[in-house]
Amino acid sequence: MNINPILKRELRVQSRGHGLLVLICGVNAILFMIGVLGCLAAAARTEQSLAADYGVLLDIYGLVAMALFVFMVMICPALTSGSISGERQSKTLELLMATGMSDMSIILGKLAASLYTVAVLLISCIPSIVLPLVYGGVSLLEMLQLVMALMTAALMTQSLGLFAGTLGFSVQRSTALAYIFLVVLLFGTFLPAFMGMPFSVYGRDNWLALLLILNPAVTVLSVVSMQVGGGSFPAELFARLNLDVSEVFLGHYIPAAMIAELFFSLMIIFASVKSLDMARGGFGYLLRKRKKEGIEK
Amino acid sequence: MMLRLEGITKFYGQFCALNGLSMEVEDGALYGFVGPNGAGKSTAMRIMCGILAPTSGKVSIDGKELRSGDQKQGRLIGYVPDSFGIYNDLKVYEYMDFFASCYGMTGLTARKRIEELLEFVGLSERSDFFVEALSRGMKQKLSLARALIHDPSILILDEPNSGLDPRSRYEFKSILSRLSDEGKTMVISSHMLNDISELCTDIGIIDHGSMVMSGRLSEVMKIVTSENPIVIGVETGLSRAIRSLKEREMVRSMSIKGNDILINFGGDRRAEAELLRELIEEGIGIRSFSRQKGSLESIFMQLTGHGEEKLVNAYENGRDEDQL
Ligand SMILES: Nc1ncnc2c1ncn2[C@@H]1O[C@H](COP(=O)(O)OP(=O)(O)OP(=O)(O)O)[C@@H](O)[C@H]1O
Ligand SMILES: [Mg+2]
Repeated sequence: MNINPILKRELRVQSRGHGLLVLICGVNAILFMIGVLGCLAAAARTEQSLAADYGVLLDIYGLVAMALFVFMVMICPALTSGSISGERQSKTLELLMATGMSDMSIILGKLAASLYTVAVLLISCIPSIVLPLVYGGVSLLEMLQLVMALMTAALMTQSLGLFAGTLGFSVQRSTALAYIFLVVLLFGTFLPAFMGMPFSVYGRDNWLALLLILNPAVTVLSVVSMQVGGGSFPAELFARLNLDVSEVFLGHYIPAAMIAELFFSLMIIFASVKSLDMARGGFGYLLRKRKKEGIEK
Repeated sequence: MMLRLEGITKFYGQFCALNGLSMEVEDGALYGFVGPNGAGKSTAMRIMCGILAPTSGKVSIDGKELRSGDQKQGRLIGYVPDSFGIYNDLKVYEYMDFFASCYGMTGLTARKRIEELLEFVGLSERSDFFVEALSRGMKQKLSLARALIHDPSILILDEPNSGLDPRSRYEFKSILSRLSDEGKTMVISSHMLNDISELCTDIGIIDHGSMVMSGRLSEVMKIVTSENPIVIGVETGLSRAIRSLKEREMVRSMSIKGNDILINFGGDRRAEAELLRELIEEGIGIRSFSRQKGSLESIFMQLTGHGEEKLVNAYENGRDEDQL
């Protein structure tokens, strides 16, 4: 099988360093601590009420899942923002381009490498979140759903980081830009909804507010809420924001959001490929392409 | 394979780096690409490799036009950039292996080719070293080996000699001439004009983004030699000689160094002979009389520099070297 050479190289280098190991240990240690603290709190409460409260375990599950989400989202932009800008800085990008390897395979190779890192991290964290499974609070299928939501979030934030790296800035700047993208994604998507709130003019049919569907935090929270809190989360949020969304939409919020996020990621990946191509001289290329198409017509 | 650039223009924003550059590199030629700093050599070479799209103009190989980002172009051309482009976190062998797989070579084919190439550039013993730990000259050799991995028929080398000591330069040169003997078409940009003139079959001189002069090296040399100054070694009657030369129309300018007079002479060979005869008849003791031989350096200075001043400098430098 012909494995993407860029992915192969990244994996080889990664296997030599201790970065991934440190990351896994660090994140797991923190998740474990959150879990232990939660258990202690639960134990204290159980003593008072003299009855075992398994619901608390579910709360811990939710807490740990959200903590994992936060870590991932914090790490992902940095994982990819340097992948193209770093190659540019070390002058190897033009060598890659000179090999005639397509821009798409360069981008996909880089993305696959960082997705692999996150996947390994996620798998390593499964023991930390698996506890409620034992007591039957959460099913295996639901766990899988959480993993999928987290991976989607990872893909989205990584594509944004990758895109930031193709824009021609230094590694530091593209990393900064990647985090700005992240902030826009996590908080900026709330803006239209908030802006609609005080003005009844927008009020109920503020379609821009649907940008919220791209917010991975809302999606992951919805998944967790469905699993441990009766699924009230996205409905409550939309009600708070004074948004009138249909029952059908709320009923299918999680798959809809995940599809929208995947689609968005694909668009960003495509934009990164284009942006990499622009590095060759950009507008001239576009112009000539258009001319050529004109001739063909 | 024949490489041709036609009317290539490249703008970096408002700045015009290449201004209608045209050049033709014939099959099997070793093309010396020279020009002052900032003339646009690297830009032109990037365009040849398809890493950079020209603003206008076209690049073709064997008559077939190429677009930037074209996969085929990558297969045909090997490129050694002016920067090494080296992954410091890889070992020499892994570095080669990585690029081999970029060209779709894997397994035994790749391994054989890599070993062959490392042997060729003399890095076999270092194949387990981290690239980071190589000296500049070795990195340059590795860079060349990398460019050869897919056995391209055209090689484009951007200042492969810069920063190498005389010995490495010599080694590098012999590697290049071996490649040329194998029939590879090569374009080499360099500031080491002597090295180039020893190797090249063709030459192109570029300034301000367009070609100033190009052609077979021998022909270019011929043209330029006829424009070189005549050096007259005067034994006796120096002042008389100067006076006599000043009166002549064909002597456009003159400079004196010790007992030598350098004149910029506008006449043909016959006029040269005439001049010599007349000077002797005037009783001036002439020890030597010859056109200064064209060196690439003098062509370069003449075409890209400004005025005779530099010509004389080039001449003096040449003399200093002779004395050493
Ligand atoms: N990426 C870029 N953006 C803007 N200007 C550039 C860029 N690359 C090169 N230039 C400009 O284009 C001109 C030609 O540059 P180029 O590197 O091709 O010159 P060169 O002939 O290779 O010079 P040198 O002998 O110093 O290597 C220079 O004036 C340079 O400043
Ligand atoms: Mg250059």
